[in-house]
Amino acid sequence: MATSPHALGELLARDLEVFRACTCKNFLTNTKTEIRDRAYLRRKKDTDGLSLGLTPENAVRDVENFGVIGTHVGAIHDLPRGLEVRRDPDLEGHALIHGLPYVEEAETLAQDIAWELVKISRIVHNVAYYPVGHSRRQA
Amino acid sequence: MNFTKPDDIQDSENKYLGIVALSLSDSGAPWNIVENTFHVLTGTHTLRTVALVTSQAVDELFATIGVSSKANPTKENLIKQIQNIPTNPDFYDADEQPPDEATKGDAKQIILGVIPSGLLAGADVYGYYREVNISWETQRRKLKLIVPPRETDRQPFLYHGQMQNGIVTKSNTEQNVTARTLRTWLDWLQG
Repeated sequence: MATSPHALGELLARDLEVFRACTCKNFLTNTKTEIRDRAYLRRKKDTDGLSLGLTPENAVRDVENFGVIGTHVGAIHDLPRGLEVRRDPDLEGHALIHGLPYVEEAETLAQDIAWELVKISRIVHNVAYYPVGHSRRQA
Repeated sequence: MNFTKPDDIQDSENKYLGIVALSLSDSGAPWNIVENTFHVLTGTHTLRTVALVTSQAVDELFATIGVSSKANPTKENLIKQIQNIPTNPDFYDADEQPPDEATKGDAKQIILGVIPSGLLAGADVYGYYREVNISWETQRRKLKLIVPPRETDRQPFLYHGQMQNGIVTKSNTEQNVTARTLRTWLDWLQG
């Protein structure tokens, strides 16, 4: 089934930090002190790019998570890979990394870029983060 | 430097190969183990390195045939990590499955063939879309063994990359990985 192309939002400013929800425990190592490259491997299901939040709260909105990682937009744009971090026009407070290859199509390049992205990222929360108002937050 | 294998080591090798042949039936990889070990001795390593590698390899050889009680904790630990890759859905995305037993068996078979075991230290083991991924990393280099699901046509392969100032400057993948291939690239990782 063909999917319609995603409208591109505005390019984000270099000084912004963007955040990615750890949607499974395997985004982090067993000691929860390091990020695994799988956090930045794009698969065929990620049709529009990899999903980010403009805040940690936005990153985890409506999703089960096991932590949050962050990286600066400028650092992503500085990689010589043609990546772009753009606002998601369909979802307030969200952004997408555009230009990542699919791991199923370009394994080596996908691994290269994922490794580089890990190196410019930091762990913001290494356990589940459910801020006030999140549907999964315990009363 | 020429090195002649003493008779007792040659005997041990033969016993060892017999054991390996019995325990690991469907891969040629283990047959390379001892040959690989002695190949090192003909290289350009210093005497100290030669002594260390010889000591580790002979210890492992004897441990395997029951002559020595020394275990291989690094290899044992790694095998356990592969076996204990979580099946809990929390470790995987919603559309993702953990690796099955057959795929874990393929990964273990490659690891079992690597001598000396010390090269295997520092591995990070996890499941990724039914693959077994085993990763080693230094400040500048990265090595990742990817074992695809058994029922697919894909064979185990290795990603290896070199990084400088945060950018990967050289990388590639090696297909149809055996214990010998892995050992060669683990040596490279330390370089």
